[in-house]
Amino acid sequence: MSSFDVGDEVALICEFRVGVALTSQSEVTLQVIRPSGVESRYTFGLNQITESSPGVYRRNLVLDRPGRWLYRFTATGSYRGTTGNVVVNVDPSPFSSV
Amino acid sequence: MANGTTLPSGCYLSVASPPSRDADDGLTMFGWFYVPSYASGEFYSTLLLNYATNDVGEGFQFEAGSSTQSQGFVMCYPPNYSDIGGTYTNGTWYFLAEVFTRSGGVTTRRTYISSTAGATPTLISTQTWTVADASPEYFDIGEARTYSRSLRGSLQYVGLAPVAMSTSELATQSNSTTPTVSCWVFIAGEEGVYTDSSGNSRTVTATGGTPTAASVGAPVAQPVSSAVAATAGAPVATLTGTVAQPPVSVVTSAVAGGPSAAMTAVIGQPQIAVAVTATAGAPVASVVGDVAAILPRIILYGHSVIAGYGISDPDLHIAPQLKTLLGSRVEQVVELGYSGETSATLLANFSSRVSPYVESGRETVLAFTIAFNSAHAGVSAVDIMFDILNMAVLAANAGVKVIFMTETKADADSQAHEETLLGVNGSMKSLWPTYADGLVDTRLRFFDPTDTLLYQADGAHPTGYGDGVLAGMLYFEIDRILSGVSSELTVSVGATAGAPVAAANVAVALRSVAAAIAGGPRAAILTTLGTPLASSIEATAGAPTAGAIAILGEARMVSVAAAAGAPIASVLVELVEQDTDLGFFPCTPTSYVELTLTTKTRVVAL
Repeated sequence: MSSFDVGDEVALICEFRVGVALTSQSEVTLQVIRPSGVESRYTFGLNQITESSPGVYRRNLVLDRPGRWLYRFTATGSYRGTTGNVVVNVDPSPFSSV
Repeated sequence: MANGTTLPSGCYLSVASPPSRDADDGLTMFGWFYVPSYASGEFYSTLLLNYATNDVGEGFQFEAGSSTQSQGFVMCYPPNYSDIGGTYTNGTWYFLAEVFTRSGGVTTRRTYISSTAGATPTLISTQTWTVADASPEYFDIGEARTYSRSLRGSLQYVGLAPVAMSTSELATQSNSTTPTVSCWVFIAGEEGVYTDSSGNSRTVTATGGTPTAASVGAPVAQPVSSAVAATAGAPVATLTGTVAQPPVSVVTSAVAGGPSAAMTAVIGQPQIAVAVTATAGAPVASVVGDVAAILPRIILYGHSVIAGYGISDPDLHIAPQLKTLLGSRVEQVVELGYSGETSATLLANFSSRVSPYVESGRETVLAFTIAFNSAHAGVSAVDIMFDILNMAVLAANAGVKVIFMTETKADADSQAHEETLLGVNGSMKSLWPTYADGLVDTRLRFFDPTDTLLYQADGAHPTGYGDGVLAGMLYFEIDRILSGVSSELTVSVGATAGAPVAAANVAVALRSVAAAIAGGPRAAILTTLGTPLASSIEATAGAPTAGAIAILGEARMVSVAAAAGAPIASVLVELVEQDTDLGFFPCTPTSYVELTLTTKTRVVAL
């Protein structure tokens, strides 16, 4: 489980392998549930997710509020698979607002 | 079918301060539009974002003839009023959508058209520009403001969503009377009513005229069903049902056991099926029902983990956190937690505690975890499973869908206690397909009682954060059940022999079995199972090798086998979070088994 501070920008990265080889996927979706419960969905085909190298997909995200963030990558094309649910914990800032 | 809303000439609807096209998650405008007839050279506006800078909207129009095309579609700003092709027919409802995304300083606009509800819309135009977006003043529907290009037609089910919708999401939205994604504003526009039903209470203003009920409606499937019933004990039974939306089919009946029975059903707007029944047998019974959508209810039942033992803030219990995740999709999440109780006690009190929350006609999902205290008291795994399965049967008989929750690991457990829990957990994971509708395996996360983020100091009960994790695990299983997605995997198999013999036989349900048997040069199976409803497996023979590769996501139990009658047989299994039995049949002269992971994800600070 990862832990970050409010305001951190992170990259969510997922590798897809067929056998042992990293393999490009035709359809990749990233779902993110923010601490507020709001779910966002990002799609590779709409340029909302980038493929940094064959089989490796990423999206940057600013963790703009404290609490528990959930995300998962899913491939739904010729090959199908999911990372399962991954939790990212964002700690509240110990400082008061300026 | 509900009719839409007609805008007279010069009349349009507007909502102030919509989000920008450059929003991080993209933007989508959509809706159904209808123009009865067109005059040559006229334009008929539909969806627009209006900007104060030049009083020209980002928008979409029907074009009834110009120098460049006839009865096609036109897009304005930017670039100004460009034709984007397509054709339309007078007097036809069209579902229109503009989807915006911005990446690397480039804004992309995709324009989709469809005339069939539920069908994948056709992409007719893709345009890009680099100029950053100004903040639009208004989301306008049916007019280009000062340009006198009003719709002069009808609209229905119009929305603006702060997300780039996929084509499948657009297809789903095109066949729905309500928002299928979270919308900034949504105007159902049924029978001349143009208020916001997104849940955000936006103010929708009509300018330049008065919208009225249209004589036609978009070809959208209407909501599902409602039921009103009254049972009377004797002479008279009276029932009045007022149904909010008009039925495709209505069944009404009145049965009098005594002097008289009367029933009146007033049907206003569409439903797929409405049943109203009055039965007389006692003096008087009367029901007046306003039928609204019946949302599902979730019930959590069990011991101290459900009760949120040791968590002082009730908002951090599992139930309220799960309600936050499920939002308006469910009516409520009921917390029925009883700290310290055993499975036998929880079973004995099941009907009196749970039944009051089970209603006829309301989809109900029950998730329960009841084994921990029984195991602690020395009850055997077999006896605990007896209670669990009996509870599942009781729930199923009441029409309730069941989710088994395995028991978390506790630091204070004796070895005997832990062995009992492992036995119970294993049985639940094996038997849930027969006795339940879903499974949440809490051990995937709650296996280390020294993890102070998930566990309280007693090493047994989850923290508020831990309850949030449990809520998240429950969310995905409940989401699957409410969405009607089967947990069973369906697999098709293809085998092609290039040489003497190749055979592949796969039967995949809740357990997967994949086998390749090569009597000749080469046979191979590649199986990819994630969370799919359908996967494909191929086997090709042609060389002196036999192999089976299975890549598994969330299958519950998997068996993979390869047998080669020729030099090499191999099995390669890639696993993600499931129990697996590997059946391997060694052949001459070489064999091996490997286990690796299919997907790997990480978070990197930038």
